[in-house]
Amino acid sequence: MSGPDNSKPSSSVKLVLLGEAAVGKSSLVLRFVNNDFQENKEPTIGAAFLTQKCNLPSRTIKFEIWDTAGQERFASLAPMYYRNAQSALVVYDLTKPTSLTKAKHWVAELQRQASPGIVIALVGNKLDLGAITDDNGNSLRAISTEDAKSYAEDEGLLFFETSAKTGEGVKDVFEAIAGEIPESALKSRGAAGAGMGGGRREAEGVLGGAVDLAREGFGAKEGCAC
Amino acid sequence: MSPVSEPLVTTDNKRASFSAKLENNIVETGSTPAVKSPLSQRRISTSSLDEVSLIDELPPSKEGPSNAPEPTTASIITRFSRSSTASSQTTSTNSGGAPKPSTAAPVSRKPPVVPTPVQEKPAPMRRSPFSWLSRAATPKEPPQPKEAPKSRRATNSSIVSNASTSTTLNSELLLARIEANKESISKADAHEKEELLKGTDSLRESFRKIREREGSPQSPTSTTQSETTEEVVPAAGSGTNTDDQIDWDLWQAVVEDPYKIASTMPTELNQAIQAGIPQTIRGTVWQSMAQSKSIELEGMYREVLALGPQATAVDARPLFGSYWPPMTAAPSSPGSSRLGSPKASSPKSDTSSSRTTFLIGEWAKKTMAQLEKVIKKDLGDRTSFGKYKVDQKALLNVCKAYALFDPEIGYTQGMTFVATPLLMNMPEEEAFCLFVKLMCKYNLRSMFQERMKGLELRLYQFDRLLEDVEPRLSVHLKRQGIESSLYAAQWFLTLFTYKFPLQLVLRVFDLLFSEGVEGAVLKFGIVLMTKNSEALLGKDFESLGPFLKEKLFDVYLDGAPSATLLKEAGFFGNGGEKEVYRANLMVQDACSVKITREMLLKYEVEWTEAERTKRLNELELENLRHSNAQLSAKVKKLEDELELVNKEHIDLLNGMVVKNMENSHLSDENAELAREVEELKKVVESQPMEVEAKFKAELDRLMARQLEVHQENQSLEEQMLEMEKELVETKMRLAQVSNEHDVLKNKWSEVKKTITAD
Ligand SMILES: Nc1nc2c(ncn2[C@@H]2O[C@H](COP(=O)(O)OP(=O)(O)OP(=O)(O)O)[C@@H](O)[C@H]2O)c(=O)[nH]1
Ligand SMILES: [Mg+2]
Repeated sequence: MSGPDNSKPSSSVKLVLLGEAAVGKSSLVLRFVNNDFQENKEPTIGAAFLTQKCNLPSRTIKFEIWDTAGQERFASLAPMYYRNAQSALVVYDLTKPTSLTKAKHWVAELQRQASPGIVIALVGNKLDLGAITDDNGNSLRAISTEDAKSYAEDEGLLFFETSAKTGEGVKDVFEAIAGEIPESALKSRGAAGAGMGGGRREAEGVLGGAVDLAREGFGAKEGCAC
Repeated sequence: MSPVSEPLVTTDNKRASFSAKLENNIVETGSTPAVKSPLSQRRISTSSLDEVSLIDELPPSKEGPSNAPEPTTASIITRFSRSSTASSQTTSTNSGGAPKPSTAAPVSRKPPVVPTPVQEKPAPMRRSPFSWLSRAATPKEPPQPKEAPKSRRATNSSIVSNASTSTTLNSELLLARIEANKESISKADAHEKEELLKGTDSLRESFRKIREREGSPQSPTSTTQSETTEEVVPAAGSGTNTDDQIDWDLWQAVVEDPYKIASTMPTELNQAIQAGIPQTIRGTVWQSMAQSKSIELEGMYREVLALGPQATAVDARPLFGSYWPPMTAAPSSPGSSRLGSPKASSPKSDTSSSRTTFLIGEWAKKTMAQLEKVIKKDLGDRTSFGKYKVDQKALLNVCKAYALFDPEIGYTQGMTFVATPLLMNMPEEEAFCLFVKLMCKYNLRSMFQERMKGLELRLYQFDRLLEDVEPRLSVHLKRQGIESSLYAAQWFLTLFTYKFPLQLVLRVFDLLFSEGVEGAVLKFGIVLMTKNSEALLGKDFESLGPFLKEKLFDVYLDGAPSATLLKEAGFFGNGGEKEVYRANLMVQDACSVKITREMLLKYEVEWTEAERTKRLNELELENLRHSNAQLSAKVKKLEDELELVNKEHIDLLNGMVVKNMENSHLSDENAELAREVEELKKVVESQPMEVEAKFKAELDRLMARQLEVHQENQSLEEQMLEMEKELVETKMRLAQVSNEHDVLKNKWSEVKKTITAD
């Protein structure tokens, strides 16, 4: 993150993290905000919130990050947290198949209930473990990149694989989201929520465009990731 | 009720500045007789606070019909003036000696000792028992104004007022809780009562032992912890009274009969709690106040833990005997208001239905081994105060046993945090019993229950209280988009154990066991907000987050801790916390936050109503969605049909174009043909003459030729005749010649013969 550039327009974007317990949501946030990692991160109770800036060439986005608790019991609180969110990270643990199932539930719920035009990124975390093999030589990875990616494409989601531990891919996720937020959905603090309803149609239109961009992005990512 | 007729709608800034003033100078009792009830102003709006302006930028808000029905306001005012009366009365009573009625009766053995005023009281509210606190002023309705000069006190000011006046006021929650406890005991069967007595006896016994050891002047430096506590317990700011002046008699009386003390000496008890329960007896006193100790349940706990790794809640169930099923005490069961529904408060009333539904669900199927796996993930460094070395095995056991005991809740993250302070103060069996009490009787359970409705309710109550006490802050936070669900959810779910310093957490627990979870957490929550309001008002979203999460308690940091406190901290090792907090001050402040059961109830009713509306709206939305979907389907179908028709139409058009083209082609052809025919006709017409002329000419030619041929013929015939004549002539000559020839021949032959003959 380079130094703040006052000439660029800056706006806040509410981002909510959802996903099964212990997939690494809080760790991703910690990596993004403090560039830090804790081996034993305490479970999130209720929610946590933090902010972090993201500098794009054309503008500065200030993320208001709402990190939620992943345990099933807390799921009923989620609507309180994703209300009015303009973007969401739905995180799964790529060594744990059930976590992708859960992630799909979240995606469906967001598409049904969250603000229209919300930008959703599907994130497979613990990429560092994916590179490790067990005693029998099997990779710890349980969800292939292709499977997750094709699901993400079907649903029009951004898709990334990350490691909060090594930091790989973490910044990319947030930057990609920042880039996808339609101009129309940007609000300035104080007029909170006012613009959300009105810009609906527009936002959908822009999102439609965003999806295509996202898909083009996949190819490009592959190129440099390997 | 004259204050009520005051217009409900006032400008917001008036209200804001009003309470801002209250914040700073506390209005003493009776000093502002003419204050119009701030409550009526406060009621302006709950739902649309974000539209409320702090400065004069908006016209007076105009909502109201839904929010401020007159009767509500009226009753609040009544209530407030009543309780302020109560406070002054009780204060005087207490200073004059113990209140007279009903106090001597030992509680646990008798059916509820209902203080006399209750009977006198016309009000039908079933909650009335603790209004005995305000004996003289009890009747809520008409009689009240006569008895007490109403609105003598600026009610808003009493929400946060100085400790001395509030102590008595705030015994209300304590008494209410004890009352509720007592009530549930009176409903218990003989067996349960006996168990309770045994538990109490055992607590008394251990208290006595501690007292002997600790209280003897010969051993002032005893380092032995309570015999029940094996682990090293941190100091936890147990208060200034640790060494010198533990009021052993008072605490002993609490352990002997907490209800009696609470009802006869609420002020003293409250003050003692504000000073902190001495660390050595903390665990014992907590259990006494919660009346949790049950030797039987402790045995069950051990038996359950002894079940094999494959055991599930179904196997554990019979072992828990009559303690099963775990019930949430009525009040907080979502949607059921305590008001006027006495049935709901009976812990056994819905037993039958829940018994059947209890053992289904994901947690009921989990085996002991599976539970262990899940819980272990949250142990060690992932617990709060991990550094204080609470026996992790015991922590695992308590959580595991609880999950087996209560499969509807199972294990929820957050439980380890709550159980930790308990385990720091008592052995695991007792901690389990107390944990069960906390969950079931203190209603923690309702917050962990499916959909967490209990938590939503608490958060709603918190929001409303914050609006009341700190309207400016409340608006500021809303503007910044910070909701209590973000920062306060974990206060309720973990009772402040998640991120806050242990020395203060233990003090929170002191109050919580005496007053109940909602009261204590709300009071601490509100007081933390109040104390930090200036700092919070100056912050935006970005810095509010971390501040609310971790810095709220810093206002109580003791910059220059007294020697005693430091000594104490060193003495207990202070569990690794370097900072020393002014814990007493914090508890005092919390106790001075005025939260009455009635306020809580009122907000609960509001919340229930809001929930109902929300559900209705959701239902309607669902219906609309449904019909929308249907209509969309219909539209889709029609569109499909239209498309089909369009396609047909286009096909037809296409066909027509083709036909048209064919047509024009044909007509062209036709014209061509007609022209040809015309030409042919001309040809045909002109032909016969030509033919005739040709024919004639030919004929003529032929006739001439014939003539010619004829003449030729004739001439040829003539020639022929001539030639025939010639031929004849020739033939005749030939004959002549032949004759001559013959003559000659004969002559020749004769000559020859003559010659030959010669
Ligand atoms: N190897 C590896 N471990 C990770 C990674 N991200 C998180 N972890 C670990 O996974 C555990 C859970 O991480 P959290 O960040 O607490 O997970 P969470 O999704 O926030 O969990 P809840 O708050 O309970 O919903 C922690 O022990 C982390 O150290 C990663 O990228 N690689
Ligand atoms: Mg987390």
